[in-house]
Amino acid sequence: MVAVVFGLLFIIELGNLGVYRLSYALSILKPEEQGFWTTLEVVAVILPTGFGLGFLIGWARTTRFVILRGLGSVYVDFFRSMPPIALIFFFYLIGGIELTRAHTNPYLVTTVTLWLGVAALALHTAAYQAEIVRAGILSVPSGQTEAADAVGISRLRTMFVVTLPQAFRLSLPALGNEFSSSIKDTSLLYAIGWTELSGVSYGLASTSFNTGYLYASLIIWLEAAFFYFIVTYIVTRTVRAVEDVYKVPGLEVARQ
Amino acid sequence: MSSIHARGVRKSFGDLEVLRGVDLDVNPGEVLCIVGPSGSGKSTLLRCINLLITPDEGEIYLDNIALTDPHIRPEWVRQQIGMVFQQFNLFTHLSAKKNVMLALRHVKHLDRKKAEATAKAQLGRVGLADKLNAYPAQLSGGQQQRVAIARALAMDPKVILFDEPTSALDPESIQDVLAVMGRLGQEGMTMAVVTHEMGFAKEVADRVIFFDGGRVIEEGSPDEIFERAGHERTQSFMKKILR
Amino acid sequence: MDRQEDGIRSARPPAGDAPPTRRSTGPVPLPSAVRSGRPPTSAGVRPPWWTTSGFYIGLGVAGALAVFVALGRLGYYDIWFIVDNLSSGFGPLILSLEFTTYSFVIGISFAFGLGLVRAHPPKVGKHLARKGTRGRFSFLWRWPLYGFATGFVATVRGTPFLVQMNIVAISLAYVYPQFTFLGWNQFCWFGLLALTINTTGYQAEVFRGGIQSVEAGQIEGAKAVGLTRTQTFFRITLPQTFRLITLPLTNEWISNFKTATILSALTVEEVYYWSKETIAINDVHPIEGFVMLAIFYLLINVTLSRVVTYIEKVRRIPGLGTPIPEVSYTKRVLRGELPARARG
Repeated sequence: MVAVVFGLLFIIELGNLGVYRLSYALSILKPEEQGFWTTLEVVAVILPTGFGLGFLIGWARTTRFVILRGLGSVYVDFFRSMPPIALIFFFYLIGGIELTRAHTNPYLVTTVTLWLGVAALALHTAAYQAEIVRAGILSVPSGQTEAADAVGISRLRTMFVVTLPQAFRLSLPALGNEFSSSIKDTSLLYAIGWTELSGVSYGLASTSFNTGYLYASLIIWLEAAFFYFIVTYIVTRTVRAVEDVYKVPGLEVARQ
Repeated sequence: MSSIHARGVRKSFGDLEVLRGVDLDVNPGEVLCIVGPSGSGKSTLLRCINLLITPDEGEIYLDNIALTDPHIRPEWVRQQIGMVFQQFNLFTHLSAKKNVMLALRHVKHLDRKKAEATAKAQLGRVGLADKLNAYPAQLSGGQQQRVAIARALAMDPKVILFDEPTSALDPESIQDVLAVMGRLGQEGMTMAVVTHEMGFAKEVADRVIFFDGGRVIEEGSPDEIFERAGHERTQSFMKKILR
Repeated sequence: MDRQEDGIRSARPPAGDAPPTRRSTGPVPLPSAVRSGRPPTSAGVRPPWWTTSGFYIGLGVAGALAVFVALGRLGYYDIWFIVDNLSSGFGPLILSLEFTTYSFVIGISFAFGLGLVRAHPPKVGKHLARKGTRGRFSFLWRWPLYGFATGFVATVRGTPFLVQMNIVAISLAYVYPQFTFLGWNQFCWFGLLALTINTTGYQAEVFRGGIQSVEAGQIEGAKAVGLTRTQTFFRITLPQTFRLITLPLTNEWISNFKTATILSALTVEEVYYWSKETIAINDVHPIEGFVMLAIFYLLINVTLSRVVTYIEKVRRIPGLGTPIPEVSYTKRVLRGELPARARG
């Protein structure tokens, strides 16, 4: 934290010394901030949906039902293997074409297709989170369920009061990493016209020659990097705080 | 015949003072058992002798050589003094034979043939001639501990330190390991054994030390310590243990 | 102290300076395990064919093919277009694989060093002040080195690859606006550099994790038999690290392979660029483009991760690596390992 503050002061001081044009860097702060909020908005949609879906699929993959397990593993294999940018773009393109063919209201088509890209990202992260949840559930020793059986707790209830709390605690560090990856993946939404951080940066960079400042586009992207760093930093710190809340003495999980 | 003498050894971890001026002698060819409640610093003392932990103060001698002298290489010391751990600490990626051979090859610089012959002989000595190529995870706890003893023996140490060698074992394996250790003692190996096995201490030990709170409380023959303990703390400990 | 030449200690007659208190306990019997043979193993019953992994792989491939053909027959896409045009994607695919592998291999060497630095954080403590301690002043170079490694890893992992790539490409474009080297234009080289930097940051964490998860007991055991620090690292830590990181490193390769698609933003004509620009937009076959890309990625990534999991299971040293998931009760019953009911 101290390092971050000092780094910031150092960077501003460099601007004062004329290493780069501080006024320009400050002038693009406003649009970048707009993009920052859009990114947060998208993240706020992706993380909960991805987690909910991933949880269900991860759970399905640990049940006794062969068909559920099979479907779960097909889902995970598919969405984990595909590159996120391809998922976003093709969801957007194919969805757009199908909707236009169905003569939907053009305004609706634009909105829906934009959110289809976000849905693609949510599905992508759900596949990863499913694997994390599954690993968490499997890593709870079978003796725990046996003990619950022995005192007569029903299977479903055992899942919720014994297995899942432990699995959740075990998988928190991995989930934190996955959240951070998922946030970084939102930068690819520029490809379908989202004006989140990277989209804004591309827009600014394309008109930066108007400013007559040679290094404008570099400044833009460095600033974008800074904003992304803040988002991932906040989220990973939050997950760590949650980890500390749910910490059980003697059963700490190694952090990445 | 080698002996170990520790004088005024002190060690603290942070604010926790673990060893508070320990004087200890292991005479040549002697089996010394160190007993005492857990957390009293017995393991730390053994690790200090082996320089796995550097003592804060005090001297440790191996046959008049001051091991605590900064000019002495700790690797040399550890070569002279074997160590057997509670958790075996066998190299999980190597088979039993290779576990024994590793130090022979790379510390003693023996050639492969000689190292292999020694490893086979030592493993045979602890009764594991048929487990040469088994990996640690394929061996039972007792077998792992015997490999660890063979690994220590193969270095031809002057003294062997045992740090609760049977605490992590099931009762049957304990007997196997203790049998090997007892035989070693009979053969004249100088040994310092931290143990909770009072039966072993009574049978095999030449001398027993009661250790508590980072100090030697009492020492004497097994009979003296177990039956006629002079110190109050020793008496209460023995009462609990021997009931 | 009489020893035989082969280093085996011979029995010593109890005499001389032996303490007089030594009791004779008589000959100690050999441990029982010497006499007993191997533990009884279950009879080599061959599992029924429907439980073998070969059957499952066959089932998976057949199922995927069936779905592929069925969706085509239902008119979701044109199978023949895919069959005809798939081979045109091989070139871009190979370019993608080249980017992935080159950056991965270059990255390993840097990542190893970074991981090593990150695995041993410099200590703050009393021992720095004590005289005579070896490496007392090592903090003078250790702190900056550790700080650099940590900062690098945090930056790479905290920002998206797209942003990193743009920063690298833009800053290099000021110096080298245009060139062609070994058949690749400037964008390819910038992209390769960015990808290398990115994967280095992630691999460094893999190495750090691997090195740190070698147990302390292993190091202690190595020290106790007299190995030096360097020997301990090369003989004990490193071999165990490599076994621990096989799977995470493969995952990192797969991840890198997917990340390489972002190079399309620099107009590098890799496989995603091909499926998007050539197939989906130029040829106006968007769904076919998606399916073709999926074929490539599924084929490579699923196969690779399955193969590595298999290798890790089979060629593992017992007790090392990620734990094998427990075989389910139902499966064991199906295999005939567990009797479903008591035999008479």
